[in-house]
Parts: sequence; structure tokens; C-alpha cells
Amino acid sequence: MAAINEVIHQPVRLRIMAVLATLPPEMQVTFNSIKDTLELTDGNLGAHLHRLEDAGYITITKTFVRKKPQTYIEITEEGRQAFAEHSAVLREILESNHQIGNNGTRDTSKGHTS
Amino acid sequence: MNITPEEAQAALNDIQDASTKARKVANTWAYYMLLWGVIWTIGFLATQFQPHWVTGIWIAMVVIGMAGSAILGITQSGRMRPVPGSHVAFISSRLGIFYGVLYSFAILWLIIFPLTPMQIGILWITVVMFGSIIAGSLINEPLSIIVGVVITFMSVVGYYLLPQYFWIWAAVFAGLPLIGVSIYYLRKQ
Repeated sequence: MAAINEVIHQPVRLRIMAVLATLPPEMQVTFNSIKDTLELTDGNLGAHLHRLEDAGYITITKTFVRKKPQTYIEITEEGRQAFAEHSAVLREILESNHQIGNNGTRDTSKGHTS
Repeated sequence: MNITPEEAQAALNDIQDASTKARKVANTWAYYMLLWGVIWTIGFLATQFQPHWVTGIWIAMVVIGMAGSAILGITQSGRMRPVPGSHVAFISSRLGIFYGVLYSFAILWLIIFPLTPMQIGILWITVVMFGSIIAGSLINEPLSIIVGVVITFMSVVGYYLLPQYFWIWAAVFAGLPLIGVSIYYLRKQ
């Protein structure tokens, strides 16, 4: 089983990545749109975006639109791949738990180490 | 890092929830479709039952539709954009030009040719569906092509076979399908 991605697994970053991965390729979303969609504060969103940018999972573009500053965020190919792998690991954990449950030896208290 | 199945399930639920919200942001075209589906349905039904008010009905409908479309366009531009210089940006700009030319020609034909209200109705339906088929081909969206073909076919059938009920037919087979498809997309998980 692949490893849990600790950068992505943080709840806010997970939701940010889910939003970005849902967008069609070659599309950028504004900072304010993510903020409104996920109901986050400027500071909270900004900090998590920089963490994802440092990991190479997103790119942040600052520009001016009609003389107003605008920040656009886009998922990178590496970020899309990492998010897909992380989602697959989560599903594997659930499936393996179901299989253990079906065999009558379910024990969820220990968790899964990745 | 330890992850329990409960935590994995909670994370997947978060992903699902965020993805659903993002899809509603990304699928702006579904709001356009919903808006014009409602306008077509109301306009066609009103025309069926108040045919003498056809000009006034459609002036009101078009004004509401244009205003709604402008609001949607402004909202959309504040949310997302294609990456500058990308293939998507190229297609988007070409689609904008295509729709501008298409609707300009449709208006030109309306000015040049003396058409009855019913002919104007079928002209607009087929012009918009022609656009839907071309756009669906360019952005690789099969549903847009299917909607264009089916609505065109059904509208032409009603135009020739049931001319006395054409407007109500158009409301059912042109307006309502747009509403149905847009709601399907907006509710899709």
C-alpha cells in the first residue's frame, strides 16, 4: 500500500486539493473563490496554499485584473498525481477494513500504518 | 502515520463534499443553460397562450436573459479562468468569437427575411442548438452534442407535425430539457 501523504492529509489542505483536482485541466481558480467555497479565512487559506506550493502541488499566480490585484491558483500535474494516490490509499484502507469485517475479525482501533 | 478506517472515511467524505462544491463553481455553463431553459419554457408557454403578445413577451424574456447572462459572466470571471496561453484559453476565445458571429448572423437573417413568429422560434432554437453541437465537439462534451441533436430533431418534428401546438411543444422539448440537463449536472456527485 502506498503511503499516506502527510502534506495533503491535513483537513484544510485535503479540501483545497479536492477543489483544485475537480477543476478541468488548464484552469485556474481565484483565491477568493476557494475561500468562499470552503468557508476559510484569508490567513488560514494563504498559509495552507503556501504549504502546498512549497510541496510543488500547486502554482500561485499574482496578477492584476482591471487594475485590481487577483491571485489565481492552479494544481500542478505532480499535485494531481499526489492527490489521486492519496485518495486511492484512503479507499484501500476502507476496502481492507471491509474485507477484515467480512472475515469476522474486524478491529478498527489500531488504525492502518502507512 | 496511523489512519483508522473512520478517519479514512471522514477524509473521503471531505473530498466528496469539496468536489461537489467545486463542481458547482466550475459548471457555470450549467447555470447559463438553466437560465435560458427557464426563459425558453416560460416564453414558449406564454406565447402559446397569449400569441398576440409575442413581441412583448420575447423582448422581456431576452432582456431578462441577457441581464442574467451578464451577471453570470461577471461572477464567473471573478472565480476562474483558463491558464493564459493554454489550449483551453485558445478554445475559449475561439468559442467566444464563434458564438458572437453565430448570433450576429442569426439577427441579420431576422432583419433580412420576413419570418413569422413560429419561424423565428424554430430559427432561434436551431441556431442555439447548432452552437451547442459545435461547442460540444470543440470541448469534447458529448452531452452538449446529444442535447443539440435531440432538441433540434424534436423541435423540427413539432414545427411540421403540430404547428398549432408548436409553442407548448417547444416548451416541453426545448425548454424543459435544458432545465433537466442543467439540474442533472449541478446535482451530479
